[in-house]
Amino acid sequence: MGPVILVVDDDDDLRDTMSLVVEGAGYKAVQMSRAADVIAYASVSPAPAAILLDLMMPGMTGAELRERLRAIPATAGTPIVVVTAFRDKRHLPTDVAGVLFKPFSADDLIAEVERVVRLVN
Amino acid sequence: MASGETKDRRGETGGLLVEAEELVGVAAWAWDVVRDQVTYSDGLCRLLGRSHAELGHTFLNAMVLVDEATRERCASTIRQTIETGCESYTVELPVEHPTRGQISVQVCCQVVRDCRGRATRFVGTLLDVSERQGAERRLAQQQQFLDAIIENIPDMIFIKDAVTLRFERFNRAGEQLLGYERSELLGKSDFDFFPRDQAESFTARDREVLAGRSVIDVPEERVLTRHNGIRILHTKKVPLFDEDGRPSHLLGISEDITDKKRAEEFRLSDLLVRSLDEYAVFLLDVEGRVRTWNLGAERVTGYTDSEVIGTPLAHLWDEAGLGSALERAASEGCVTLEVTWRLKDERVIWTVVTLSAVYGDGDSPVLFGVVAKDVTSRRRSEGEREALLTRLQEALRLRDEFLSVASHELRTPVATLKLQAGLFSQLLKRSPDELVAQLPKLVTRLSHQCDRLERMVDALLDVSRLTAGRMELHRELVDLCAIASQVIGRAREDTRGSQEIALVCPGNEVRGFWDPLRIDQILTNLVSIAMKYGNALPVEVCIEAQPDTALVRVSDHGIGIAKQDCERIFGQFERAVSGRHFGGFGMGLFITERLVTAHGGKISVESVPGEGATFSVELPYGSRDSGRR
Repeated sequence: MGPVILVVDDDDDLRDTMSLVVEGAGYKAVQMSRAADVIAYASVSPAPAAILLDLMMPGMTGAELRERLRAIPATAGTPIVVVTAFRDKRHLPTDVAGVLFKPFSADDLIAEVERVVRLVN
Repeated sequence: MASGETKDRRGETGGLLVEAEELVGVAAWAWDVVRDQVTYSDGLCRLLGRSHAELGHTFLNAMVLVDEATRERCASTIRQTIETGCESYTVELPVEHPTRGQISVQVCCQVVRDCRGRATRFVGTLLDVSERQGAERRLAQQQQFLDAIIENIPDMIFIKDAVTLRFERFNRAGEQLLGYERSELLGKSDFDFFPRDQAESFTARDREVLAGRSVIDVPEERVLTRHNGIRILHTKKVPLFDEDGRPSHLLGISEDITDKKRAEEFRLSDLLVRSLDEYAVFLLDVEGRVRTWNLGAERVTGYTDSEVIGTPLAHLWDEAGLGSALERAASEGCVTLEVTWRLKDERVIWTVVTLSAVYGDGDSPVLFGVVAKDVTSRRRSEGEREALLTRLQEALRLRDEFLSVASHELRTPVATLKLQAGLFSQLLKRSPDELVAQLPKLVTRLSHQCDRLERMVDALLDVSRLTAGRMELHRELVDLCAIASQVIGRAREDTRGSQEIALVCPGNEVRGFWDPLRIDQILTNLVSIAMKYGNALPVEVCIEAQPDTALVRVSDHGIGIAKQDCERIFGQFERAVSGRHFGGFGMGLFITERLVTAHGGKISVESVPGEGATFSVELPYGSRDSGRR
């Protein structure tokens, strides 16, 4: 199994499907639905190759979660690809590795993941 | 006088005197200056009512006949005649008649002189002119009387020459009216005093009067005066004729009706003001006390004129407000304000008030004119319009936000479908066997996404129906606990068992006439809200049968709802927290509330922020024929 991609989304169907697509491309997908779980995972696990992060989640927004992940040494440099349905760029966090606007295709997803993973390496 | 005596006299004075007397039938006399002897004809004796003896024969005797007051003047005339060489004189003298009293006589005298020019004889006649003088005196008195009448008539009277149309006469009222002295007016024409167009108009009318030989009445004509501007005159023009019947003069009689006209106009405008019943029109003095009060003021305020005239407007218009309005009107001349008035019946109305300063001769206002209209209904409708506009703008804002959220929410299942399609394609290329192996799972997910999209579209349609009032209920006897059980089962399935949801239904069955699909929708919405905002902590659904209603309570232990949001969240497109944090249309509670209301029920929420929320729904049991919407 290849590098780990953390897939964070509170929508079970989308998260599952994204994970299947990513795994089909040779990555290992680790699914999370709550921000608190992501922070807990990042604190104890090796850094994933990239994080697919839904911007709109209950409890904590994707932008807030991104800030928290920046503060954790393991994930401070991990590329984050924001997944969002909002087209308005004012709602997007700056300094993320990439953005995927819903709806996107499986090819778009794989291309974006590969691009950011390659970028870090 | 005896004829013998006459003959003697004739002998003494020569035939000349007697002949003259007989020829002209006048009283004659002669005075021999040298001998100082005066002789009188019989006619003269008769005229004076005295005999020859009474008259005497000397100059002094003759002078006694003359009235004492004029005697010296008479003597002086005679002396001058003698000394200056004058040959004749005529003088009129008052003479005392024994029976007629004082009479007037005209004395005509011829002086006879000798070769050295000395006056030797005076020969003369005496004529009784009492009647003529009396007539002349009476004529003069009449003339004076007529002059006094014309002079003192308060209307302007003028007379023009019929040919030149120049003024020949003017009375005092005319002088005062036009502002010119008589000496300036006489001999002049209209063109010397009035603007050309006015003068032409006046003379044209004069010609018309003279040609038509009849009186013309000019009810109103405007005349420019020297000191009083334009005055309005009512003039009558009368042609006057000479002995031959030709027009010789034009008589004009003009009454100055300016003040009368103004008074009439004022009366009419006052009548108009008084009868205006939509507008309060009144005068205030500088102290703010009411001076006049019209019908409109009475109608608007409820106060009658007897209640307010002479009093301040303190009750109607607060003192400070009135004071500042009067100050502004005094400094700016006129000011328009929207103010409130407290009426006699204590109602408060909005009025538009215009205050105008009224000036006398000085620089300070002497009065204030007030015109006011009740605009309460306009203000009210403006307020309603503003409120409506605000609501409309808010509704538009919410709709725009909803459209944004709805499109966002729809993108998530669409994204999943798109990814799944890609996944199918990937698997087909990479490993058809794996595709076959994964197919059941993939198809389940596809179906799930289709259901989800369908629910979203249904929700949108529900909102549309509820907003348009087209929701219909299909009531039947159903068990609330059974429906709740199905809803909870689906929710558990959706969360694959990760969400704990408890159903508490003490009687195991609560039945009523409800629309099962809508009840399912109500419960589904409440459970999904509890799950969404419940921090993944357990959710409880309790159903109780109460005497008149079934009570459903859905509780979570999540973020809760702030007190100020508890009412608002049932509105269309409303949500208590930002759409940034929580997906969803924001229509769930709106739809739920409308469905509950359609069933004749009530929904409410209790919450402690940070500890969770409990939604309570009370549903009357209803009947098959309960109201349908």
